[in-house]
Amino acid sequence: MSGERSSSEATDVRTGREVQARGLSKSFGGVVAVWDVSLDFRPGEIVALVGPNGAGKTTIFNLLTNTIRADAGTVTIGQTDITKKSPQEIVRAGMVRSWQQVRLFAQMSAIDNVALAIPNQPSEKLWPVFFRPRAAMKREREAKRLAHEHLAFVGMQEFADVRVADLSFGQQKAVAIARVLATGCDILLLDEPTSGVDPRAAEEAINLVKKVAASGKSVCIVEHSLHVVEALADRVIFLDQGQVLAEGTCQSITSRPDLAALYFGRKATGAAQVSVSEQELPVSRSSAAESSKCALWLDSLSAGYGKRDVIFDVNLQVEPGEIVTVVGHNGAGKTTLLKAVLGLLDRRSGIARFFGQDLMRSTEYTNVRRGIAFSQAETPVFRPLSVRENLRLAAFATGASHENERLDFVYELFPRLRDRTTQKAGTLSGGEQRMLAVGMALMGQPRLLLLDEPSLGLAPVLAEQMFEVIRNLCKLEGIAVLLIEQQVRAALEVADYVYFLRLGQIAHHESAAAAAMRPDYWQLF
Amino acid sequence: MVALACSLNLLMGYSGQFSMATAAFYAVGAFTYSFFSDPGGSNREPGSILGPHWPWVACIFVAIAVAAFVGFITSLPAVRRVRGDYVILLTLALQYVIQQSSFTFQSVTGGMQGITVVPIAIGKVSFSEPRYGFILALVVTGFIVAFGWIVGKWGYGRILRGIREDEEALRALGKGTALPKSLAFTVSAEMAGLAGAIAVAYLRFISAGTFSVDLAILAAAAVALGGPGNMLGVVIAAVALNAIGPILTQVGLSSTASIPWQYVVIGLVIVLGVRFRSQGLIPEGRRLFRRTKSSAATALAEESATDNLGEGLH
Repeated sequence: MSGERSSSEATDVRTGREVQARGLSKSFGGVVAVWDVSLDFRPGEIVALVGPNGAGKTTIFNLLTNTIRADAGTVTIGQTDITKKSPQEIVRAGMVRSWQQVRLFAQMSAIDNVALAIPNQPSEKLWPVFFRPRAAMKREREAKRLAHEHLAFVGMQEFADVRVADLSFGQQKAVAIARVLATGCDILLLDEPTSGVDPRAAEEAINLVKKVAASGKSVCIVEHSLHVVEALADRVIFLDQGQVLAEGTCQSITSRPDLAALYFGRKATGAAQVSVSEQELPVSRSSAAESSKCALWLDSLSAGYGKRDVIFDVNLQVEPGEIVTVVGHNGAGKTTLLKAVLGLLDRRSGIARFFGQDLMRSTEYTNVRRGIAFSQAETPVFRPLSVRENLRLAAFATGASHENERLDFVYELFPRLRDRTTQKAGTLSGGEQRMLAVGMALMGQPRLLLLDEPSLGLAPVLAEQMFEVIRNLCKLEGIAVLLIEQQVRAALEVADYVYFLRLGQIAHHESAAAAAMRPDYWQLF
Repeated sequence: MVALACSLNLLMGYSGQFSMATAAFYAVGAFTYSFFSDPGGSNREPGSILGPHWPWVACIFVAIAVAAFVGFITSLPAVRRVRGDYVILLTLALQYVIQQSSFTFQSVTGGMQGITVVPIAIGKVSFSEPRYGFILALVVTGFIVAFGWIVGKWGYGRILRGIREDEEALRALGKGTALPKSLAFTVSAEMAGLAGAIAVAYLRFISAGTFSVDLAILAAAAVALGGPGNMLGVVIAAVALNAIGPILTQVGLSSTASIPWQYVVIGLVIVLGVRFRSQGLIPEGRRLFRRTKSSAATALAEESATDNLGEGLH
């Protein structure tokens, strides 16, 4: 009898801690980021939010924790309405979040980072330190002990006194989880707990999150890697353009062709059902001896930001007149790869050659002058300058001659830019800005073009035109192209060869045509 | 000077709030003490407002309280609205307001001519004599340093450092940041005010020219050189910066000739410090005598970071 009662009490407690979000909406200056989203998190369950970039996943975290105030909707934890509460009060109510970019207190030791999150410390207030120093000291010791326990839980106790800035990114992610646990909250929102860490650390993180959920806490993760989602999530919520499109098990989501198309590009499942052996040998690629003929030749290149390694031992070749695409989920290191080639970040080891010239020691601007052009995915144009000023600036930066000829060349490729030649770049539509960005990359007559998401923000028709332009550039002008594209299907159509990047490593590579034949190519991510 | 640097360290080193108003808080403490202890001596101009001539103990407490109040008022805009570089401007403005008022309100402050101040005395021992004054200064400074050190090491210091690193992240961990921040200003001002009261009581004289921006900048330099967030480093740096003048006179320069050279040497020290020890003499979180051990731990972390990213996770 009594046993029954206690178990019913336990379920009461559990249902009492359920998180319910109803009708959450948020728009930023007319752009709808989240629209009428309703979610439930239950104790002991791991929920994953997935969806393409800009689907509003992180915004939902911001709304739940009131880091950003919602336009409409309510959030409750159990019986408590937390919609209007401050971030601090929400943590006290039991919900805490982590960040994709970790946001640890970098100059502080790991133990201090964790200790900082422990609630109700008298030594944080000056009154007890002054007037009841002994009690404060006792509680201070207790806090340190607790912090050590949390660090031990994530396996970081050896590094307690090390400054967080000196830890690897994987270790930092572990400390961040310990910090989140130390708040004592039972609802954890984890933003990409495995992004930017190497495969082994990712596995460790997966086990860690499982362990946390098994202890009865509710966990919600935002994650781009399907591999991680599959391993962790009890329930998957698929978002697109700020709305919930589907909800269900990982299996039921990934098997739906319309969602796969949204996530991985259009016509994703339109390919013929031809089974291709995993072990198929790749088409022959240039060997080391021919490296001087390659537009780009990478041999076990590793690179990263600060202490954080992002790509590992990447081997890759691009020949003149060839389009090579690199595909992979977000955070796999695609953009990092382009930046490493150009020299925008620390290259750790390996070889990078451009027509035989060593790229490892040269700076980004010498590389641009040698004939490498890079069109970035974010902030591609100078907004206060006109279209023509942007293009002339790009020509000046590359030291190109025949400026007017190049200008005409770009205007011919993108007639729309000619119409808007004196218009300020900031007032162009997103798609026009994208064209301008590619045009700017072409001003210096490059021999190697690094394109990061050239179709980002383009409507389908414009995207197709863009790929057409890229294809012509490559085949008619002989420019080598290294292309990164979210729309994998489109990229495979335009490209000659494809590399699959998974967690910073080349997982697989083959001809684009062969890859496009696979019905399940995105499982290679 | 050491006490001033320590008070600033609490604010600047731990919580990352740059303050240019240390000298202002110092001045507030000093003038409060001189006003409330004023016996109405013969050297005052006619029309001066005379203080109540309270005993020195009370005056010191009043000085602390008034400085704390000014610090708290200063913190109000700094906590909510003003961020980053603008805090420097805000505190600089306060510095000038207080400095200029000390010239203008001659009836209270004595202006440039200055006024004499009642010394601290217990029985027959006057702490205005160098011998005893030194002891008093040492005790008070020791108290300020110890307080700053304990507060910095425990939870409160952790919160302040958290504010410095990432205030929004700290709030998302369930910690309020407004109160600790304004307390940091208040406590820092309290310490500076106490130092000011003790200093004028020792010198037995106060004049408006003493509390210039130079003093505030020197205190900031001591913090930056010593290592923000590290009490020991800051104390050493403050002593060293202050000793430059006397050392120059010792090596043979006349005291008038040493003044310009003093600034040359200070400038040189700051440039060298920034070039070779940009983290400060003793970086935060490291102790002078345990350097080897902690750098070994750091090396260990780095090794495992490059070698074996996942090693620490399990």
